[in-house]
Parts: sequence; C-alpha cells; structure tokens
Amino acid sequence: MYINFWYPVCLSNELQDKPVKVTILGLEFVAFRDSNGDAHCLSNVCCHRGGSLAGGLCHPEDNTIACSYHGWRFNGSGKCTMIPSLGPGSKIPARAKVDSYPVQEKYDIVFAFLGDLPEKDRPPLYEIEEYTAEGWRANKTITIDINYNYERSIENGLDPAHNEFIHPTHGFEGTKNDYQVNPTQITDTDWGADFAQLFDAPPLDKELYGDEARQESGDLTVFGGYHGPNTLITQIHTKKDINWFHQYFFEQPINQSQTKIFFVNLRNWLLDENMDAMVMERNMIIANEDIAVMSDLRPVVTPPVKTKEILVPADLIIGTYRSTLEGFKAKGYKIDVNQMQQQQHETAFAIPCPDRKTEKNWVLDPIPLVK
Amino acid sequence: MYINFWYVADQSQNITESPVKKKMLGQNFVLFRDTKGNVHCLNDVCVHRGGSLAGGKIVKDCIQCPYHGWQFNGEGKCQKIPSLGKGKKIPSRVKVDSYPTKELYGLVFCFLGDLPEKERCPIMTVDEYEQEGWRTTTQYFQFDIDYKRSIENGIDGAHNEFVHPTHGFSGEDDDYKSPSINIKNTKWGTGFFNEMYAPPLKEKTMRKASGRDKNAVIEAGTGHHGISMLWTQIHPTPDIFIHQYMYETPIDESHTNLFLVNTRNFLIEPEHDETVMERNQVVAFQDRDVLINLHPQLTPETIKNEFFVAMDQPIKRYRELLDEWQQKGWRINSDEVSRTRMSHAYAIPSPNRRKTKGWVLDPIPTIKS
Repeated sequence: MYINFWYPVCLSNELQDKPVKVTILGLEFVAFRDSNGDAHCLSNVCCHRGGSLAGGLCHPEDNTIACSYHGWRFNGSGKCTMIPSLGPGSKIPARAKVDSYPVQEKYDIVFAFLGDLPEKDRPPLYEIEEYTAEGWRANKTITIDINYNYERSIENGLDPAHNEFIHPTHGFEGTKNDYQVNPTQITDTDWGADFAQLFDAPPLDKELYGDEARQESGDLTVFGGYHGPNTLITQIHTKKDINWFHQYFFEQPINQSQTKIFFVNLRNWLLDENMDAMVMERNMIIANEDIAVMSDLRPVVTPPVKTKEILVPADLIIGTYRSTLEGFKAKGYKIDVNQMQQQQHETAFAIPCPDRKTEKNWVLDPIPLVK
Repeated sequence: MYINFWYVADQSQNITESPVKKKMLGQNFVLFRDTKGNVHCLNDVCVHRGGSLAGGKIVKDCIQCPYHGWQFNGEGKCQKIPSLGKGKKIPSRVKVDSYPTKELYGLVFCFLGDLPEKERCPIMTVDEYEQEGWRTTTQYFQFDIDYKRSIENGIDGAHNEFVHPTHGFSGEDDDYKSPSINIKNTKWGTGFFNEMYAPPLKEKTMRKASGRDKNAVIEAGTGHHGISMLWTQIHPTPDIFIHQYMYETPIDESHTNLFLVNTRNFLIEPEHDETVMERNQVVAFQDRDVLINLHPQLTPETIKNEFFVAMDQPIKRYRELLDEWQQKGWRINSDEVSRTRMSHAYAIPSPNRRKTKGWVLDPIPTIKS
C-alpha cells in the first residue's frame, strides 16, 4: 500500500450532515461536509486522548466537527478551534491539530490525496474525458466490496488471459483449438501504463444488446491501463469505431485483504436510460465471476519475489504494473505494513498531510514507510 | 501439527469427479477422482498467479485452474497453458505438489509429506473390517479442539469415570481408584489394556444383547498409532467386542475432523447401526464438551506446566513421541506460517520434491531442532 495518491473516500451522496468514518490503507479517516457544501477529510484520531472524531457531530455554525469524547472542535483544515474544558476564549495550543488531506469531488466520488506531496508534485486524479461529453451515458457510480487485496484486483483487471476462463460470455472457455493470447501492446504513461489488446470474442447477445450488437465472433479490442497503484481503466470496443463500453475502477484499499471499488462506467451506445439497468446487471455478473475466483487467491498479496510464481508472456502487463509499484517504493511511498502491525496497539499513526512539510508540532507519528 | 503422516481427507463417497477443497494442517488441498476411479490430492495453489485449483473443474483427468485454465494432472504436472497457444512446451517448473493417496475402510487417506514409502508410519489397520461376524459403521465429527488434546483424551484411562457417566460410576463409588494399566509401546505408538469395574450397558438393546445386567469387571484397551490415530477395544463381556478406530485430521491448530470406524461382533444386523452410532455420538459429544474448554487450548510445550500422575503415563509417552517427530523436522512452525500468511503461500513438500528440483512454492516452515 502506498501513500501520495488520490484515494476514493466515499460516494458524494453519502456525505451529508453527519461525519463518515472510513478505513483506507489500514488507517481511519473522517469525512464531513461543511455548511458551504465543501467536503473535508481528516485523520480520525483526536490528538487529545484518542477519541474517534467520526463518532461526534458536525457543527455547521462554525464548520467544524466535534470529537465524540470531550467535544474538541476541528475545522476542515484540521486545526482545533475550541477546547470546551478550558472555557470560552481560551488560547488553543498550536499542536492541537490533526492531519487534513486535499479533497476533490468528481464522478460522484469524494477523493482525498493521502500524502504530503506539495500540489505541483502530486500525481493527478485520473481524468475521464468523456464523463461529461455528448454521446456518452454514465451509469450511477456504485461501490463494490471485495475480500481481497486491491493489487490482486488491479492485476486481474489488466490480465488478458483470464477472461476466457472466468467469464464464459467473453470467450470460448478454452475450448477453441487455436486459442492463444495475442501480444499486449504497452505504452508507459507518467504514473502507469496503457495497453491495447486484441481478443477473439464470441458475438454479443442480440436479445440483450439489440440489432447494433456485433453478431459474429471476431476481433474485439480492449484498451486499458492503470494509473497510480489503485486506478484501473478498461475500454471495451466491441466494434472498431462504435459501441464502446468504458469502465473506470477507483480502488480503495481498506487494508491488505479488503477493498472497496468505486466503479464508474460509461457507454457511447445503448444511450436510452432504460438500458442502464441491463448494462449494470451485466457488469455485476462479470464482477461476481471475478470475485468468486479472486477471493481464493493465495497468497493474499502478490508474492514479494517473482520466483514464487510462474509468469508467462500473457502476464507482461502484470509485470509492468509491478515494476511501476517498485518505482513508487523507491520513491519512499510504500507503507511498512509489518512495522505498522507490530505497533498497532501502542501507536496511532497518521498519513502525513501536506501541511507537515510546512508546519511542525504534530502529535501522531507519521506512518512507517519502507526505506 | 506435523507433516509426514497419513491423514484422512474425507470419506470416499464424498470424493467425486467434481473437485473439492479440503483444509488439513492449516493448508488447502484439492481432491478429485479421475475417470479410472483413482483419487488425487494436490496442493490447492496454482503456481501461476495463485488461483485456487479447487474452484476449477476436471478436464481430461486434469484439474483446470478457474483463473487462466492451466491444467494439472493427478501427479501435479501441468499439461496445458492455454494462453501460450497449442503445442507449446510446458516449462518443468510448472507443477504443484501431489500427495500419495490410499482408500481404505471407506476413507481417503493422504500422505502429507515427502518421506519415501518405506519410512512412512503405516495406516492403522482395521482387521475386523468386512470380516464375517463383524459389522462396521463410520461416523464423522468436526470439533473446535486441538487434535492432540483429543488423542490424549483417547489414551486417558482416568477420564471415563467422570466424562462418561455410562462408562463408570461418576466417582460415587467409595473404592474408586484408577485401575493399573499394562502399557505396551510400539515404534509408532502407545497402548494399554486394563480391567475396569463397569455398570451394565445403558442402552436397552445393547444391554440385552450383551446379556449382562449387573456391574462387572470388564476388559478394555486403548492406544494411539502415529500422530493422530486412536484405537479402543471394549469387551463388555468375554464374548462381546466393540472395536473402534478413530482417524483424526487437524484442519488447523484448533479445529479437527474426526472419522470414527466402529466395528462390533454383536447386534450385527444393519437395523442396529443407528442405535450404535447414536451411542457413539453421545460419548463423542461428552468428550467434546470437556475438551473445548481445556486451557491452554493446545497441549503445553512441556509437561512441567501440568501435573502428571500414574494414569497419565501413556500421555507422557505420546508427548515424547511428539518430541521425537519434532527432532526429525516434521513439526510445522505455525507461528512463522501465521506471521507470513499474507505474502506467502506454502506447500507441504511432496515425495517428488526429493526426486526433482524446480518447485515454485516454498516448503512449509518446520521447527528446526
């Protein structure tokens, strides 16, 4: 798990007049919305005596949340504005603050930048250009809870050789005699890689998709890629110029073995809103086919060395993703999970927020990172 | 938990041409039957990218991984990697551990370890099985207990009086004292016979069949064979025998599968099976209800943390054998397995590891002496 990337926190409509507690990267955060409608995301541990901020209340009158334990109030920047026990008008010590993270709302999702990089150095949040474009229709953004590691999940999304076996509707279940996975075309990007992959696919179900659907088996191209450690792109072009499904998976690693996927999907055909339910139903059938197999992968996280698996040419893009992660580790972004677990009962950690680069006096220790 | 013993994975009837996942010694295995009727037991982790083989299906006597369709035969050798295309050579490292299996007494035994055949502790035999004048019933239980605690309970001659009211007088008898026991050690186990003063059989039909309705001295014997097999012989009268064989399989440190093969030379008509099995279940549950509350949950590492008396001699010997097997390097280092469980899939080494190189998964860590 890596700091210094944008992570989905919750759906926009889940954030109303109450604080919301979320676990990401094994740590707890609180999100709340102020009276201007702006979303905020703070480290959830009160720096007084460890109360859970999310257990308290939102105070729209001063745009703060109050700790559930002794009522200390913190604003969206994480600064304490009131300590009730001291009495009215008392000075608040400079150390009374919690980490506050940059927030963006897009695609009906509240995202937080969990890290301390200054704005100009941050990897950007993935831009879905067609999200508001004409001729495209987006399904309502949903979340999918899975009981497996997010990197395993991203690798599965990139994997060109699993469809044939996990998704009977997408391939021939290995029954075709000349089956073979075509070479993957890979292009590096600033924070990840894109790929193009040609598949030999069966026809689409005419009953479901209507007359526009591809009616013969034949070539189908999937464009996709990953951006940072936790964003997956899948663009299925059922015909060369038309009939495209574009899917974007913003993954929230809850911890090493649980993940919440924020799923955005669009299409440039079947634009009638009545088709939303059918498209989503198809998506969920596919998702559940993946979940059934992925939940049982061992080990839970990808092995630390390559010799503990056998990788074949069809795993090329998996190797690229892992190299990218190695790069993030070299930058010092990787969380030292073992260290964190060893100290879990005696230390509350915080992911360092950007303010830590310009201010001193932070109460919680920064999360240990792999050196 | 110890490698290098035969363990029962399941009853024969439950292993078919659909693969099943079985957990033994804390590890997952896939079992299936090929078209010739032979049972195979493989490590469940696909060496490609960690798929669970048991989630797949059987194709041409191979288990096909559900993730990318790689096919492994009963010997664990990969026969097909679909993504490579037809006719491509399969690298020799593409194999998973496959374990020797045997079907006996309606049970599927798997040898979980890498010892050559001649060095293996043999499977405890049921000589009465399918013999004339004998009748067999087989029962299965799953208890949330350490199997070692259960084996120790089986070779404990002093618990019957208290745990099983039907077998003794619940300590109400003023003269009660544990009978002296005559211990016999074998290479792989410990057993003893004793004479005990017992009430008549409680169950009506069985009491009638035994022809004994008074308290009497009866003969009984019990012992363990290897790490997790138990035998018990009860002779309610000089002619009437109940011989029981219990095969225990640790699912993990604190969960155990128990397969009980019960043989008897009276009431041998099938219509009495139910009565016999019901009695056995009552007794098994009486043991379970005590065993699930033992502290510590696992047998202590040394007998210094318990107080042993004369009747505990067989248990002392069992623990000496455990130490011996640990010295041989057979004891799984469960702490290490648990510490690394997120990032490491292990395999119990199979006999083939002594013959060929190039194995993908690390062998399960064992305690080094």
